[in-house]
Amino acid sequence: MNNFAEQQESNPQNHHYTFTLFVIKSGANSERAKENLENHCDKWLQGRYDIKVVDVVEDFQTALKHNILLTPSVLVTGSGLKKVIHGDLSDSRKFAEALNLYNEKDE
Amino acid sequence: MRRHKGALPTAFGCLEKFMNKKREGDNFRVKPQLLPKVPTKIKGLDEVLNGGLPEGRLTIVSGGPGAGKTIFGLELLVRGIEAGNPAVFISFEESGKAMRQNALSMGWDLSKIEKNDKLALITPEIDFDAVSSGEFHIDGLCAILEGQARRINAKIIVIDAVDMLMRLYNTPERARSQFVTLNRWLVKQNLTAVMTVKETEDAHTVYDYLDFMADCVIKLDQRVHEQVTTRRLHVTKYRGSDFSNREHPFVITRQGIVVMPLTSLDLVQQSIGKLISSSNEKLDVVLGGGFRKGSSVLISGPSGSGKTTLAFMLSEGAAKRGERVLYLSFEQSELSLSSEMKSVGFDLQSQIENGNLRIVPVMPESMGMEEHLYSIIFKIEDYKPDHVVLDAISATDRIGSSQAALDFLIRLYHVAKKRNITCIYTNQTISSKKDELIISGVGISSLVDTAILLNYFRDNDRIGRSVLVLKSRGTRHSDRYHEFRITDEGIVIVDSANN
Repeated sequence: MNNFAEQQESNPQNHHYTFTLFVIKSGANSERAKENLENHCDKWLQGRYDIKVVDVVEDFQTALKHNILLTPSVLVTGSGLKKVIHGDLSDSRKFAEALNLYNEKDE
Repeated sequence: MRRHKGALPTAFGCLEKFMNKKREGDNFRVKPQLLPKVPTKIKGLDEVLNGGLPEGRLTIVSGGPGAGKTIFGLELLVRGIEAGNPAVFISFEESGKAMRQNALSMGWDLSKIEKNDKLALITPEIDFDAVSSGEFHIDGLCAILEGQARRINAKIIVIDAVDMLMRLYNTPERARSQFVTLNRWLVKQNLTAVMTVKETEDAHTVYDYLDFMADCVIKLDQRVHEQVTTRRLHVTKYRGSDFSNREHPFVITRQGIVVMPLTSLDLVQQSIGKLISSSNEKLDVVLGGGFRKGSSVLISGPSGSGKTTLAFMLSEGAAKRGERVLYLSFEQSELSLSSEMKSVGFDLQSQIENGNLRIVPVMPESMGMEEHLYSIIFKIEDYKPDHVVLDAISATDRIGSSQAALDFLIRLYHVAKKRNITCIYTNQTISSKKDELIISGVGISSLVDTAILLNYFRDNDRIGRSVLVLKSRGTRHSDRYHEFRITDEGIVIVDSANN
């Protein structure tokens, strides 16, 4: 790994992320997942994020394209990262870990 | 308005009226209605399932790796589509490319039926690196399936390797509740669904409840015994339907799966056919007129006692009458049989040439029991014989175990019975005094209609040959030993056969 990459890795404050949240709009936990996602993003990534919401019932093709079978799920892309998080995101630590943000804020 | 004749209804009239009213309301008993079924069109399977899979309900197909689950699912949908039912196929294990290649090897071009919207093939890659945070559900999958099913107006859905999907859930309880959700969705959609599940050693603790949930459960199994592979299919559950609850062998051929069912229906088909001559006048007298069409005849005796000669006499006689004989030889080639028979006065060659006799050498060791059975059934369907000769059943032991041999013979017996084909078996007994009355070493004696015993006896300074008809259903046969000789003109019974 070169120095630049290392720097990027250790400096996630510069990263910009795109979140694609897959939900069933009518589902009980779809609103909760959206709220949790917004809260986490505000807390960890002030201004460095976009959120797109896909209702799988309306647009199953996009879900299929990204192999999203479970809802809610969020697909995180940006800065070379591609990660899927299943669930309503109620576990904020798991969310932060998935984005390599946890240690930074915790220390 | 109806009026009573009397001023007051009698007490009895009142009671009767009350009873009638009650009876009307209670009249909920109707003729039992069978669950609607969808024929699978897989060879032999609908017979085992008594018609097909439960329509609009869930069937589980489980089995170990290599048991044939994916092929099963694939053939089911291909045949379903052929019958006019569009299908969704989702596999969590194989890529779309691999699936299309597998299908091509069976002669099915999936891309064609995909193009004209008869098939939706979905092969998502499950992301095992995904992180879990909080609750999630299988609803996304249901939405995808629903979208695809609507698009092609699907009637059938096959969910392949569902165990892979369930690995995403960290507890069996969660996996279970998701299965319930999925099943509810399937039922709501009125889709005839088949889920395949890989059975591993510890999987039954996790997936056992699937069997409870499903309306029909089919287990596939592959065993290797002494380098011979056998495949079995076993329906262990079918809610609201009769089914054949025993193991049925099956093979995977280039044309697809072929199940060889032994159903209870076969067992009752025992009718007495018309008498057929043995083409030896004196032997006919011993037999009480001959043997019956569609029956099974066992010729038992030690090596060299004349079993094959007798079998050939019966075959040649039948062929000369214009009946077709399929001769399965487990011990000799066509050439050696032909020359051997020539020496005792039978002209096989002309019967082979006029198409009334077909000799098929069979190597017991070359294949497993199912493959043998399949290839023989195929020959029977192709040649449509009136008689099948099996020379000798004692060699069927070499197929694998004596259990496999017995299975093989019983199945062949049923195949023949169903088609009203006469079966002539020869069986080599090991010479000993005790064996004299053991007519069959392989345990099919109860299925045999006519049992003929050949043996040697000592007559001063020479060896004589004897024939005894031990039993013959539907004829008044001789109960005595008769001496016979094998001459240049065939079999000659020397003593008088008068009873």
